[in-house]
Amino acid sequence: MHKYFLVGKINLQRHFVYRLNFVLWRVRNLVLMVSLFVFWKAIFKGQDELLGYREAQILTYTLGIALIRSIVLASKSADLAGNIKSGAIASWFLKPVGIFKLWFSMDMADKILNIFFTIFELLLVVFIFKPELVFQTNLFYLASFGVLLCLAAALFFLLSLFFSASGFWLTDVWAPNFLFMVVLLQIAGGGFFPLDILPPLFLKIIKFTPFPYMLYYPMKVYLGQISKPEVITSLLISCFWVFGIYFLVKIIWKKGLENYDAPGS
Amino acid sequence: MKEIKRLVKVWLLMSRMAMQTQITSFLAALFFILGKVVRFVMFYFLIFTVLKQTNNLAGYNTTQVIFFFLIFNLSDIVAQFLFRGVYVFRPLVLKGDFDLHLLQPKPSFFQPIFGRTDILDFVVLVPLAFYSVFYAASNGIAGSFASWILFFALFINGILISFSFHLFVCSIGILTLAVDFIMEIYRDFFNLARFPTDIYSNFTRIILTFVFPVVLMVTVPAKALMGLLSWYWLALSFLITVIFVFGSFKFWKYSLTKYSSASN
Repeated sequence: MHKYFLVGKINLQRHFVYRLNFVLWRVRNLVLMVSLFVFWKAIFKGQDELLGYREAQILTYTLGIALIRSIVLASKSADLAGNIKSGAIASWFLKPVGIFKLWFSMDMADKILNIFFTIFELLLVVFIFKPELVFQTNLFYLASFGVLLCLAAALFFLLSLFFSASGFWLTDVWAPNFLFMVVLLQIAGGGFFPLDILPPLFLKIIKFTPFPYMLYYPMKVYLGQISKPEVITSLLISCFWVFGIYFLVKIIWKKGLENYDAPGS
Repeated sequence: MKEIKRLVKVWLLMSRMAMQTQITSFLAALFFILGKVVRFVMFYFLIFTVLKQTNNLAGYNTTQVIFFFLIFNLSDIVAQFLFRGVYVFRPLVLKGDFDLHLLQPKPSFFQPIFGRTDILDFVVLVPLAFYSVFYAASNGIAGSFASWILFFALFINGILISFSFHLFVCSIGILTLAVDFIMEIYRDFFNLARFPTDIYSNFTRIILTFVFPVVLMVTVPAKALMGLLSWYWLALSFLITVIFVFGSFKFWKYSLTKYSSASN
């Protein structure tokens, strides 16, 4: 356990090697948060309610998504595909470490760092813009939100492993990552706007994918905008995806490693 | 003129090589194009949904807002198609390989900016350009022939601003090795132009005009075609472009004097 803790610690320290890059990374996060905030504020100008949301709800959604991003999407595991492709991962196989645990520890370090700074950035945005926000007080919704967040983080980690495995077969590993982990996750996951503002057919289709369970549903639960049975259903579906993808990852990695010739290592 | 012809030839050669690399992986190309299409369709529907309730945005009707969105996409994809080299510039500096390019008989900024042509962006760009022109013509967006001329002039003007911004980022890359996040910050600001920038507050619009001039890259050309552009904005667009282009070349030259070729 100690070795994974050390790996996480080293990963944390690596962020501070290029300090300007680190500062710009945080500025970028802040800009993304503010740009979405400014966008929705502009859309709601002069309107109390739009698309089924009050201004306070949509702004809470936008800022809440920023926090959820830092918990769920902060990850190093997206680099794994490149490591497989370059053969760099081979050196880890020779060491007494579990590759998934190793990457999980790096992910955790990333998340801790991200959450810490995102909270500061959120406070800054709230201090500057002084928006009206929604604070959930219902314990059921708060507890469900917490559980959904944990499931979402696990789901994202497993999906990263799943798509990283493309490195065993594909030469261009960025492409599946771009489609599934950038476009679909950010848009079909509700990263830019709540999915229920689109025609209902969209949400009906997207519900059958794992993407909305990482950003959209946790935030909807926090806002208390879905009924208690729906909350339970979303928790069960999230569990289904976590276990389903866990088994898929096990199978696909086993197959990948059987054929892996560690090119370039 | 002869020099430009030679550089175009070099660029075409590099693009052909980039294309050969990219088409080796059909699946990757498919995923990339699919990703672009999905994003485009989702935001298209978002605009429809928002406009269905609000009827207009900052005084623009649905047709006009969609046209802004189309120009936003065109401008974005043209820049990515032409200037993708910026995204792979950092490793060149980090490894010291940039030295090799500085020794070649081409302008120093050629490799950092045009070093990688993304042919997959071109695949998306062609139908989008045709659709945008068709959309403008069939929905009565264009005022007159002169509006089209003005639109193209301002669109190219926007691409020049984009070029200078990318060159500016490369200069920072040489000085500090920070490229990726500045590009992401730029893209976040650029994304605000998906909708007419007139919807934002004055402060935001000042940032989007003078710091990250996406207003000049997207809103101004679109307004020119609609016949909604004032002489003030027309003059300001060209003036800011001159400042940006001149400033970026100056800064680039300065950054080259600080290039240490560290890893060689």
